[in-house]
Amino acid sequence: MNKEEQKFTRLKNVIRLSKRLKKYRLRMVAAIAAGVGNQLSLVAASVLGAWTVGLAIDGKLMQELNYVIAATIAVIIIRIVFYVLEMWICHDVAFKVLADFRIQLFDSIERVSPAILLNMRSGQLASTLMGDVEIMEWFFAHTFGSVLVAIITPVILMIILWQILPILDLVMLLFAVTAVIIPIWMKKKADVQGREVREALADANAVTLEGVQGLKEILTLNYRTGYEEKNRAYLEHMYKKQFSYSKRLGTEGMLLQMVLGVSGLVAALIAAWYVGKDGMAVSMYTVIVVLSAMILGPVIEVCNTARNFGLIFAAADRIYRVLEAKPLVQDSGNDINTKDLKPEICFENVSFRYREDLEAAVEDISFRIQPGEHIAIAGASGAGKTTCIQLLLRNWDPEKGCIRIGGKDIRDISLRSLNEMYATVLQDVYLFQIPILENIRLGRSSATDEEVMEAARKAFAHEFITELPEGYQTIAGEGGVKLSGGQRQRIAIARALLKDSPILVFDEAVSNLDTENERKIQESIERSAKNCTVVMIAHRLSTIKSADRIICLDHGKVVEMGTFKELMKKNGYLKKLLENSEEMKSGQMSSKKQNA
Amino acid sequence: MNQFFRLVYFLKYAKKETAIRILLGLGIVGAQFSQTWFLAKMVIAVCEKRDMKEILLCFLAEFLSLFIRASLIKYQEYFLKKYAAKVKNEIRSQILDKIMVLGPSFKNDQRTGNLQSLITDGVESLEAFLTQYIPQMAVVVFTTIFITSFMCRLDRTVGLLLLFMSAVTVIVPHIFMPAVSDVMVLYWKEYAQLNAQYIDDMQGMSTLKSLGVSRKEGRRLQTQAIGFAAESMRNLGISLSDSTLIMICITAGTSISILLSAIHVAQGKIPYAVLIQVLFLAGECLKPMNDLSIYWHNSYTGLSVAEELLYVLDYPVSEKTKEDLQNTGIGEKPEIVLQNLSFQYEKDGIDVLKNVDMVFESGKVTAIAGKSGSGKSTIVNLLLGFYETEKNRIQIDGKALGSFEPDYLRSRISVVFQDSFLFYGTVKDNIRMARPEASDAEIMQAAMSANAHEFIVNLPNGYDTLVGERGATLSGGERQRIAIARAILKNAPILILDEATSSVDCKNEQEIQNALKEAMKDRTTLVIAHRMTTIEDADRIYVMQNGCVEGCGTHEELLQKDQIYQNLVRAQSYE
Repeated sequence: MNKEEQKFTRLKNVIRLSKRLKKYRLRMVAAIAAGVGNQLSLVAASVLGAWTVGLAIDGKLMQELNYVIAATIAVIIIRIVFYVLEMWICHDVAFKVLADFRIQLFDSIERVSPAILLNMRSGQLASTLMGDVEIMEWFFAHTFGSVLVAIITPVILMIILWQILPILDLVMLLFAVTAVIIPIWMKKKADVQGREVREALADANAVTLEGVQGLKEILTLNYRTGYEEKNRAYLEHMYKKQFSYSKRLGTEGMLLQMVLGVSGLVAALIAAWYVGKDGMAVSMYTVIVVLSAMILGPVIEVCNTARNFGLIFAAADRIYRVLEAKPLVQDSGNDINTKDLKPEICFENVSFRYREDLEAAVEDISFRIQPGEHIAIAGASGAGKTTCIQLLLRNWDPEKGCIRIGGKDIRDISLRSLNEMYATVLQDVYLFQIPILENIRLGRSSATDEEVMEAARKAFAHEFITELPEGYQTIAGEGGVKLSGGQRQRIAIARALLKDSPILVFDEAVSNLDTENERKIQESIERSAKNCTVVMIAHRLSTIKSADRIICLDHGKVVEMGTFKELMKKNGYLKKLLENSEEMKSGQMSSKKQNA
Repeated sequence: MNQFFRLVYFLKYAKKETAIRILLGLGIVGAQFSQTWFLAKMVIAVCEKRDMKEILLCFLAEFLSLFIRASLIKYQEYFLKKYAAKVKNEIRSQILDKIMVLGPSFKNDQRTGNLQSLITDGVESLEAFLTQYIPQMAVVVFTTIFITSFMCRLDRTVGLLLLFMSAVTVIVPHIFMPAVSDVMVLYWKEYAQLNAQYIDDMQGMSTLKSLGVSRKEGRRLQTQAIGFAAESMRNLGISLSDSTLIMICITAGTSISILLSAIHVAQGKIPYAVLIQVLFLAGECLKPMNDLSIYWHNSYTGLSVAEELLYVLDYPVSEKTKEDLQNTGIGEKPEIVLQNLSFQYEKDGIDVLKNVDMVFESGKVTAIAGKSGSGKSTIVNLLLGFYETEKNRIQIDGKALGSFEPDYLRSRISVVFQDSFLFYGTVKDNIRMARPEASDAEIMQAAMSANAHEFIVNLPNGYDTLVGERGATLSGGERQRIAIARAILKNAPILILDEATSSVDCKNEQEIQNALKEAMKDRTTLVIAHRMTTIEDADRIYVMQNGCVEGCGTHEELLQKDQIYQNLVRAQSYE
């Protein structure tokens, strides 16, 4: 898509986005009307002033005095009313739009998650999106309206002026066109500079943040001066970009002010000539001067905000794409009573590739897991273990073949019911910025505090949690207490155990734990999940050993299946895989020393 | 109110710029005034049917004033950025300095809230208040005095009216200010909180969904968002009250001034030339007030972070002066002694270390074993001087740890942490941080020793590949190896490995072990690990449990007699 098409699509997206605000249509029309009223009442006040002056000069003021006073008071009141009205309605729209967009975005992400294409995991993306919503709120509540006001008000004024001195309208039109051309003419450079500034700003911010995030490293490496220099350098770079940007912006502003000012001056001059030549009334002249000075005002104001259109369009684009994103799997299944479903898992000739042009991640995989079995899936990196889990959880649908739980194709089960069947602890543990107690309670919201702590005990997390400054009330998550990888995993395991689902799925769940804890948790899981089906991706020897059966994958295919003893005797894939493991060696050495 | 003044005090770091900002403001108002005055003169000339030459002269004068004003506006745009940058930069530097001096102990104190957002968005939001509102106040004072006295000379009643209106627009908001700003500040805090919740939930959406609570959470936030919109509207009345008052003053002030002058003309008290001047100039008098009001409204977000900002900057720093601290005294193979050391993170909190006695012998490798939470990493934090301990509990080469200058102390220790942080920069830069004067060859040598060289040269740009949060993502093991390269390059007399190989996979672990063995020669090393294989060869192993030392000896000795150690080893072995 070339640049022109891109710009057009963006404009279309803004329009599509505005369609989603249908229910505020009435309010937005009211806002625009109030805006126009506000502008016009300002003009009315000025014209009234000029008219009053005219009357005074012509000596007619005293006889019309009562009317003039009444009109002045009326105009003051009208101005204030429209001002308050415009503020009120605009803010009302703004607040509602803001709430609306947030709700819609949440729903959209909820619907599509955990689509990898829309990975919100990066905090950058999520906060950029929220920033975009603010930009859109500003746009729909203010900018949008003022653009329309900027068209309507001058038109009305010019119609009035036409009655008095038509030639001025032509002059004004000329200046108006000049004013509009200026930002368009400078736009290309504006876009390029705008982008450069945003990048430089993001870089500078990232480096500033490093001072906080990498504090320990900076201090232990005695890198303070080095860091301060680096920070300074990035800031200098950003300032340079900002200065070029604002220099151009300043020139644009200057030109616009000149156009605005000169338009009024020229109008005054031309009108002066008419006074001299045609004998136009002096009082009328004052009115003309006042009017013509005000015509281009709204236009200039819009030109000033036009510079932000690039930003606004980009924001609208991002929001729109999120709102329109489609989930990877169709949720067309039925809700079922999960208690009726046997936790038996069946992969039938399942094949899957992540993209058309990639190799199959898993190919023709078949296996059956009996209810209550504890299975370990083993294999070298890239063998397809995580892919199997992803397919089991129905984050993707297989290309060929079918996955069944309790005999039912998982595509026929609603995603909500499917989620009830599983309790998962995956590689990426996300903790929310709420107390640890609540983080664990997310597993089962009806759980009591005792039940939560019991789950934490089973996951061997209770001890370290109680040793934290605020215990279970300690806030976790990004802005909260810094926990080690192992501690986070144990909280996630507690959460999963609390959920009490018939199928437990673990992907590298214990990788960050020291071996003593791992063993204890392993045993604990075995005890708690006695009647559950457990599927675990295993890297540690102990995980493999503790499983009822092991499924070995190699390059996306099942190569071996059986108990640990069986597979070791076979002297095949599993044996070779373990032989390379450090643990095997250490295990042998330790046992040798013990036996010596 | 106090916070208000303390924030304003930051402007002292940009005195010159603040003065320029005020002058620019005055210049722009002045040029506008001049332009309008000449316009009035021109209108008078037309009304009195004067010579075209005179009219043209007025026109030229107007044009000149316009040009000057436009040029000042152009300059101002550029200048404002520079001014704002200087002020924000100063505040950010102060925050960073404070954090560096206070160290990790402060950062982990939860009462600081989110330091990261304070230092970026928080400081950013102060721009409106410091660089626009405050200077504008000065501009308003000067222009009001000048213009109203000018107007008084034209028409005394009008001048006084305008003066009165100006006073009201400036004073009244400040009467309302405490009540209004409290409400507004709270509002912005709630706004930020709601925003943060949305972001948090969006990031963790897959977790919420898998737990089946995503829709419920969505409804909860929805109720909050709608409730917040409603609350915002209720607050609107309050926040609009002062700007409406200002609007009333401006509108009424202008219109009534003109009417009054017109009446005076009709009564023959003043010539109509004056009236025309009033017509055009009355509005000018009150325009700066309008800007002031806008700036004030933009300041609310900034004021809402004032409390947090001042908390950080006011946080007390320890009393020790530079003269008391040594920056020599740690030898090539220092001996470290921990004597009856107890420690709590929080006053009256739990004892994380209880009466610990340890000796890290000169030039030897000492290991500490124990499960997570037994206090091992705390010892590292204390050795690095991140927290204070009782005097003489920790001694290095016979001198109390607290007697050393923190920078000097840390320069004599190389650490490899469990979770290494890579900075935004090249791989080479990241390693070079350990010893800035090192040559490229030395860096590569260190990388080779850490078994990192191979994967580095396979990166897109080799050693010049950008890493860090905004750069290439490296695996945990790769990051660790770079951290180990740093430690090797630094070549300090004390080496601490805190779970240094825990995120490295088996294949590389052996090679790194070998490299580390090389690195451990001829210095005092402390190894903390929960993988038993990494500490088997240590000269002495301490076994810790619940903050106490429960055993001590070589690997073989402990296997024989120490129950806890045996359990730790058995947990890893293959039966």
